[in-house]
Amino acid sequence: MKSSARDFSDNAEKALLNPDLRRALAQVREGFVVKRAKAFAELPEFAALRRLGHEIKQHSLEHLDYYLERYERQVIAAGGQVHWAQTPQQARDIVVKICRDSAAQRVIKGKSMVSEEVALNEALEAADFEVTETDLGEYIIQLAKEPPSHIIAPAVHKTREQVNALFRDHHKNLGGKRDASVAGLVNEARQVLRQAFLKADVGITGANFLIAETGAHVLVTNEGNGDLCSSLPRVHIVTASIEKVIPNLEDLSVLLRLLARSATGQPLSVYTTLYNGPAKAEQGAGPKEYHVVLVDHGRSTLLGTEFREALRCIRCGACLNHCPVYTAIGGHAYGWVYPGPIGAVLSPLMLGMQEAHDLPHACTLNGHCQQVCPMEIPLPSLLRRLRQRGFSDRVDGRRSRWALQVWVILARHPALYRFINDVGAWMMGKVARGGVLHRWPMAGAWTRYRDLPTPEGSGFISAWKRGDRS
Amino acid sequence: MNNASSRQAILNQIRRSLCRGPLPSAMVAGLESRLHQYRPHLQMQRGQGTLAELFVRNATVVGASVEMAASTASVSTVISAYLLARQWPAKVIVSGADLDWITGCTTLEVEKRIAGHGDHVVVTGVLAAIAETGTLVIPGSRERPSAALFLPEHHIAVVRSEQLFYQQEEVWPLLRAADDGFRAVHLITGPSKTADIEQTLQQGAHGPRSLHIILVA
Repeated sequence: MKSSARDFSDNAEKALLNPDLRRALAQVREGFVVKRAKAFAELPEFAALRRLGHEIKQHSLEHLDYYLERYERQVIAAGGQVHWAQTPQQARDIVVKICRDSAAQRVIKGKSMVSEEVALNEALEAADFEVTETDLGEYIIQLAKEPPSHIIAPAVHKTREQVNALFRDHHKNLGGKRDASVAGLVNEARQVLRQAFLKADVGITGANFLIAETGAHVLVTNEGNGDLCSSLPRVHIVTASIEKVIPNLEDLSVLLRLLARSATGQPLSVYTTLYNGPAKAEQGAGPKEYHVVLVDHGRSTLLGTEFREALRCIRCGACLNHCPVYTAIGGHAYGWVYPGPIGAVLSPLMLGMQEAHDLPHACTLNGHCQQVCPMEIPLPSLLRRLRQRGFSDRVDGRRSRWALQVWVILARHPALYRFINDVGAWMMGKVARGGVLHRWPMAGAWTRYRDLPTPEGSGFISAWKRGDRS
Repeated sequence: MNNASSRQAILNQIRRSLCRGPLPSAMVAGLESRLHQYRPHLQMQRGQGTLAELFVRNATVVGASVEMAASTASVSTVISAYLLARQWPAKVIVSGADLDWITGCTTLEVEKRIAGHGDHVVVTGVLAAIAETGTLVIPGSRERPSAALFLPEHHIAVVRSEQLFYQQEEVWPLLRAADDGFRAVHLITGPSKTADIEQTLQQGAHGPRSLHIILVA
């Protein structure tokens, strides 16, 4: 998809003023956060698993070339084909060519973040294929022509009424009375999408893990749509980014125990499937062609930078759910496929600092994301480093650069800093009415929405020096 | 740019980023031996109770229902009582060679074939069941392809007590021992569900709406 990360400030402001979005986002906290906390409270091995998961992913990344080649060998041995895409364009071309070569018309898709990243749907539609997303959330946003707003719950920003309206618009051929309850809507989607499953020529899914030992890809879903995409059509295409590869099944067990609990609080997602190559005659019905498209898109370069730890991400979405910025503005404001803390790290690195320089600033550095990350990714440190890079690359706005430079001078001259602090506090005290300020120069972003409380006389250090230690 | 050159470019860049060339053979041998270390990284603590009790508890937590059958001979009657209690038609599709021994009875019609779209209840066996998470391990096969597990409206799975294991890693040796390998191995933990509309949990998104497990003593 095309990025609008450049317009982050405007997007965020619009998001804050959207009452439907605020209502939808309020449920993220109650849903995901509480369920995750409960799941790990019941798992005494959590700390040990997290350490192991971190080590397994780190080990895999340090030997990424070896494990990718090992994985490729096994896929080929199982009768599958492996395609390597350096860029999103190459990934799109490869998938379109496979669909054309198999004379396909209808394509069904399971949820895949990397396919969003390379804008696969747009390319398939431009090539005249009929593409249907089958994960309920992805289907909803496909009808709404919107990007996902959450890594694992792409339509989390939509209310039931909005989904109902979309279904009324798009399911005109369904007659009779409609049920606008959640159960009714899920049922309606089940009926409509079942037909798409039965008619499809090509199924495209993502992969949560690639197993170097066996050449299997592992797909994790709750709905069962991914497995229907992988089983019914005659061609199965898997889009996976290169950092998904891990050594063996014992490593997989550690990561699976962390993934679903971090994401939704489930001990394991409903369907976890290991797929190996195409279906041979003796293995029963299934796709006769099996293709894996390995997507790099800058990851091999990222591996050599100070941001390499972001490659451990297993896309659980926990950092989003625990982020005060994400839960206030939702995913769309971030302007690209990956929102929240991990998105604020990945977007500038994949799209360029110029395009997404505001995102690393959309963070309070409260550290929650790092505390809940099952892969122990130091997200706040990575965001700080991106801020530094933005400053040294001179992509930040002139005003913030100027303000930072002034602050640097003041921070290096403590006496001057305190003097200005005291003068400011004194002036605010003079102007304030009833302990609050309704307006203040350069604080418009604050005072437009709420009053600014007046400082209590002077700064902490001045008070300390006066001996006022109560 | 053809596939071989993209592949080489990606692998070269990975090695540049890792500040090294291709791994020396001694390193490769080390990695290869790690790959074949089939030991669990961690022994998971077991709660109180027998394997069967733990399995029942954890399968119930994820929304499956579990019921005991005294012997394989009583499975048909257990199934027919389950159908009757729900006022469903007294007929099931049995998919998979491992359930050859199931036969119909006066209260249950059994049809042995690959289940599909439009079938109400499919009955399958399992390769194994994992008590740790209440999970069934069901590989696809010629008589029970993956679609037979996902297209029917409801799924009844028959688990024999010797198929129970505690932790996930105990099942991997069974997969490694399989002669010609499986195309798909499904780990199924509860019935199909979604929370994509307003985070409201709803069963029966695309797969079976319910999962009933019959544990044979």
